[in-house]
Amino acid sequence: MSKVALIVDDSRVSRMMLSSLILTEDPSWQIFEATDGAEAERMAEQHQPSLISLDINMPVMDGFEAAALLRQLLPTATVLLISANVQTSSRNRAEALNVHFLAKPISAVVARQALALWGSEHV
Amino acid sequence: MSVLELDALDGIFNISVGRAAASLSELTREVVSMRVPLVHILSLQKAIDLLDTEHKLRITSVSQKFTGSFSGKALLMFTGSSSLEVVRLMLGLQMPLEQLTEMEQDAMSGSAISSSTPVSRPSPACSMKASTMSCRSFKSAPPSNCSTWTTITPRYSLCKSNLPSNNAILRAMWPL
Repeated sequence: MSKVALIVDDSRVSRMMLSSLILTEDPSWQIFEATDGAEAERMAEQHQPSLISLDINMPVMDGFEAAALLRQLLPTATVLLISANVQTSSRNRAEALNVHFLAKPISAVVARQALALWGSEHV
Repeated sequence: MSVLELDALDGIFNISVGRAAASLSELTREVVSMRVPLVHILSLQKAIDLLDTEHKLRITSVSQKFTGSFSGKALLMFTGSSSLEVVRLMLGLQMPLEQLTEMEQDAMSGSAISSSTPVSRPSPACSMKASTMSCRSFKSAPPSNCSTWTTITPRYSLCKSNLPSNNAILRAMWPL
């Protein structure tokens, strides 16, 4: 499976941090970025990522809606919701969508967890 | 401040508010809806105008100072009626208003403790600890039983109540 990741977050700082942390862990990743769910859908079709990280609270299309769409579009991709919205209801919605949930702040631990989840689904 | 710096601030506040919302959601057993955050850098007067355009609202605020690699004060603000609603949801009871207000000080201060989980980064030097906390009320005129009255603007003042019972403090905020 190709090491192509798509990071979707309206915050440029969050995208920069996650991208840099993933590349620190493993420089062989190719990383694309999108600022909302709608742009993510277009980029996912174009680049076929095997790892997708989504923020929840985003303009245009939120992370839940995008996760549902991307799950259908790329059924084998590892999809993660990484959000500051850490309520149980958000975690439950992620579970119902069959995607992983990780809590912000974005850190080296979060990046390692993301790559480990990808590793467990793409042996 | 640059766009990137504003974006970083936005991220920090979003995480803090997200944790506060999660605690509030747990306490009230309600889903708290969160929108995309927006950072405003305002003068105190502009902040008051933003919160209360007609300068009529009575706002309950729980403030909590924090210190660490940077320090400040976090304010969780509700309108008087909303703060009572939080208490109602927390207790999950139908209670008379008077009885409810007696518990409000405890309920609001308690929820502030658990909701204002400080943002901490991996370095221990960056961890923050919450210190003093007080309940304050913004009103257009000082209540008679206010021990300290600080005027912020001609229309807004802070009432510091050091009164012995919670009931007295609450009566200062919402005369029954």
